[in-house]
Amino acid sequence: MDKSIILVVDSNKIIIKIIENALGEVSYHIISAQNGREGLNKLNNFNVDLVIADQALPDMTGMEFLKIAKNEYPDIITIMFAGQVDLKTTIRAINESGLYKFVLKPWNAFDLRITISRAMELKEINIEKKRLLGEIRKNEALFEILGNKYPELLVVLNEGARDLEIELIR
Amino acid sequence: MKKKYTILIVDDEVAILELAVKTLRNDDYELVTAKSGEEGLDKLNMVKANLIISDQKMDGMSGVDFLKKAKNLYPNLITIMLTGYAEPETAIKAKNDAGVYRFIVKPWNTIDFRITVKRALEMQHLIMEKCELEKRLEEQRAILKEVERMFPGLIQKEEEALRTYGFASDIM
Repeated sequence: MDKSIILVVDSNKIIIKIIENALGEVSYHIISAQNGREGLNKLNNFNVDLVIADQALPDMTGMEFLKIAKNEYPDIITIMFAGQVDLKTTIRAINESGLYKFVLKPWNAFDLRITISRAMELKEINIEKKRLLGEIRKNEALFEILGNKYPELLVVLNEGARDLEIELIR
Repeated sequence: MKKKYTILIVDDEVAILELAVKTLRNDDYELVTAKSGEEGLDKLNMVKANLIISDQKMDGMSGVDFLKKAKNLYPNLITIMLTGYAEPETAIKAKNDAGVYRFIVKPWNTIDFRITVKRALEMQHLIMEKCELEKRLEEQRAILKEVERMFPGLIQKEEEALRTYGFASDIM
């Protein structure tokens, strides 16, 4: 399988280097950008799975950047580095901009790695759910055709007619 | 109305238990507490918990042992461990041996704690949904097998017709 791609957006090159060191060995492919505009450019050119941005970028706030990223690429996971967070901003970021999590500074490598691997798992399970649901819907369509064409099959098919209401949540 | 998620919080320090309850009480969870791993296992027997938050260092059963036992008994549970400070060795052991989902370092940031819990419950919900979908698919496959047994070749023929008919499997 291809390595997942993580985009790190931070104006500080040293921070980018530290994150690369903390994550690079754990089978991720890391790319970076030093401002929001460059970050959006990278998103355009790479199939990014997860993006981490600092709270303060030179040309926009981290939140603004992540909001645009999430809008343009809804499947992307967004994480923000933050010195401090307030409740109101946080709730808005989570509910309205689909932010996965804040990572509070100073962070440690172990915690960052867990945050990222858990976020990736969440993404994978969502993809798997979609795949299962697709197959189920396809079978349902098949059952419907079979039932219409061959009424003698209805007894067998009806056992599978139970409705399934699964909401795809993010 | 019954709350959607039940969380069991386990710590031998009452002050920490109270603080954890205070951190989560405005979110819509059913909160259950226990003062030891042993009591925690009893509580799990009585309530259907979705998530456990447990301290690592406790009198009697350690947090790792407790969470490991709990996870063995209820594999779909998600577990979070409270640690005194960043203890990578304990944490790595807890993650690998007991399948701990997340760690929260004391003293915690209230917002961070709540988001961590929210995300863990979201994962638990997805796991349950995935199980449900897998079960459903298995049922369908059994039916298809039965149809195939009764009328060999019929499914393949109709599947081809369905493809020509243009069913897109990615339609939700």
